[in-house]
Amino acid sequence: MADQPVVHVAHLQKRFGQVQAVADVSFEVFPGEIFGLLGPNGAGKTTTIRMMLDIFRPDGGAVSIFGGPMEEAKKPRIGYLPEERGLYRDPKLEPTLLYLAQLKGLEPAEARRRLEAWLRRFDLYEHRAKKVKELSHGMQQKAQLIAALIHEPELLIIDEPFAGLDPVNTRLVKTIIKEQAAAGRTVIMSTHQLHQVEALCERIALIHEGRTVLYGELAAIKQRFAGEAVEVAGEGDFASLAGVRSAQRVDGGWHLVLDAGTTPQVLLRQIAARDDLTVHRFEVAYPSLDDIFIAVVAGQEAVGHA
Amino acid sequence: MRERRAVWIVARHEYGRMVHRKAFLLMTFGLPLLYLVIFAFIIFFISRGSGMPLGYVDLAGVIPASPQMPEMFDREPPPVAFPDVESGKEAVRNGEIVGLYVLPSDYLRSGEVVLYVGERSPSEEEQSFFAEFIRCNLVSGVKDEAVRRRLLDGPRYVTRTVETGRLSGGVHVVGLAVAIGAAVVFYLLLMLSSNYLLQAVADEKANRTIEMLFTSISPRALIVGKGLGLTAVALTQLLSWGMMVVLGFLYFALRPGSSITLDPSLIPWGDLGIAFLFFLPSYLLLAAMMIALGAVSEDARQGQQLSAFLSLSFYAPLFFITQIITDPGGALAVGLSFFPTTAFLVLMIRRVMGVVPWWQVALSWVVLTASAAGMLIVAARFFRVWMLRYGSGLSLRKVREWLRGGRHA
Repeated sequence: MADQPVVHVAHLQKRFGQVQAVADVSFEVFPGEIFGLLGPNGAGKTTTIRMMLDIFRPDGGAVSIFGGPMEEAKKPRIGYLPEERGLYRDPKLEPTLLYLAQLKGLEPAEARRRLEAWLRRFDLYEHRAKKVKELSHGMQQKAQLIAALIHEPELLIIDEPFAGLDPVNTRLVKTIIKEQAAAGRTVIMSTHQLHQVEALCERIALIHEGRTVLYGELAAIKQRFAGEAVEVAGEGDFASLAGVRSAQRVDGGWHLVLDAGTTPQVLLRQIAARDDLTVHRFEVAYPSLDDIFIAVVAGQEAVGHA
Repeated sequence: MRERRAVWIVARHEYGRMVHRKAFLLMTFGLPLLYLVIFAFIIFFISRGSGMPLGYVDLAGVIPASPQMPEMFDREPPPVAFPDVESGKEAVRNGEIVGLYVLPSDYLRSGEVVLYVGERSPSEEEQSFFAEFIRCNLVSGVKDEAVRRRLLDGPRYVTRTVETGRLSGGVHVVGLAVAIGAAVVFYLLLMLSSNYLLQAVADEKANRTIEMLFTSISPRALIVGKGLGLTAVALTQLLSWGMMVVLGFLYFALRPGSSITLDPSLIPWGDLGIAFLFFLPSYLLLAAMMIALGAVSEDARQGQQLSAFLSLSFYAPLFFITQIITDPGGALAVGLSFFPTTAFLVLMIRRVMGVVPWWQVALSWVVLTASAAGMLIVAARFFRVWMLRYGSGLSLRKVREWLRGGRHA
């Protein structure tokens, strides 16, 4: 990453009374990437975002947005979908979104033009004259996403974007997030639904109990936690291979856990040398983010208890 | 530039949101209309003529055989003359006339007129008509039209103060009416609007739009915009009520026989101008104080309890009304003229009671306006402090600490 980071967060700390909401969070986000800020509920993700946006003042650490502290002039460059959703309830949908778009610096005519396109995209156009309180939870969520996107921000921060969405709308939101990144915009996505980000994020920071416990490229992290197992589909008794500590039949294939010192390459050479084994598929068994998270947390607790 | 635009957008949005509420429409147009209807209804019944003529017996010989009719009462039927009291009384009993006026032989000396009534009495309008009827027939013998007119209309007093030549005296009553009207309207608005002023940011706090707004504009733009928008709402109410007063005034002024004169020189333009000039910053100050309180209140109940104390500072002129009236140039009255929450009404009262030097009016307005603007900034800082403590409660110590620091507010 040769570019200057859009967001630089260094050793952030925040305490609310007796609760240390954020203890030590650090990460950088670069232009045009989709960055995942991950962690279970209560990990400190939302507090970190609020400190990034100067809603909260950190007790310690530093935040840099677009190369400096958060300032009024930078607000129109940022789109934000907060975790605590909400819109004015009594006004109608269209004027409410026009108001929010104008606060982000759009001229009324331009805001109206863009809004129509977004309303159609999110299947809300027919509901534009309804009062916000008459819309379903999912519709209100989509409306807020429009408010975060309409001014085409350089940095889009979306907190739990899939919460409350059905599968169809979840797919739509994923598509839009990818489009934003393809258009050169930076996206920070915070979620506790780790599986949702696997296909979206290039890099992640995993936060647990207010600390960054994993940070970096998703592929590298998976690589780091992989290596001890392979998935094989084919014919023959794969359990008989040397260096296989345990073998399990999974969905018609094999999940082979390797001994220490046995690499997938060594195993593949063995299979190729044997006539009684036929391979249809061979791949390193990458753990899911959920598995990695559990492994990391379990490791931390083990260290903590030692 | 961006901040000014944001203030304007918020103010316009706040204004639009408020004026589309049913409660606003009801208060702005419904309430005065209701008062107007009730007032008109009462006036109508008080002044309603019976449609029947009045009768009179002229034992004093002051009304000629072919009497003159008053110019302003052309819709009243001409009074019927009776030769004696008994026949007149009989006509009252039979319902032929609504009342019988008897002018005794010593009327010119005593001025006494006896009115005989039956089941009902002549209305105020009918009584005024008969008084005018006697007056115009009494002066009908005067040849000089100007003298006759003066006798009918009486003198018109115009008194000017020695120091400034400013009109007083004759327009004193109207000036007093303006002061009382200003006080009534201001306190009415204070009562009607303090709750929604207190709730100005409560909506955003409750519906959780606060984070979206805060990441779009500054707290100052939000609070100043809201303050201006809500002041514009109050101004709309004020103007609509003012319009109704003017319409009511015109209605009564243009009625036949009305004693109200439509003379622009009698309108206390100075008092009205001062009232208007002081109303805006006074209300803005009230709005800013309530918004500040609402911004840091954890719930509506807490805010309402504290707002009662704030309201008291606006009611203060009423506690000292006797001292202000008896000594409008005294230290207390002058001092209260420079205190932001009391300046408006104290100055209005002082102007009615005597002469207020222009430098005092100007200084009072400057102090008031600066206070209103300053209070808006304080409200924005309060709001920012609340935001920083979002979700974790707020202590007075924190408010003090941040006000002292004032960072990012």
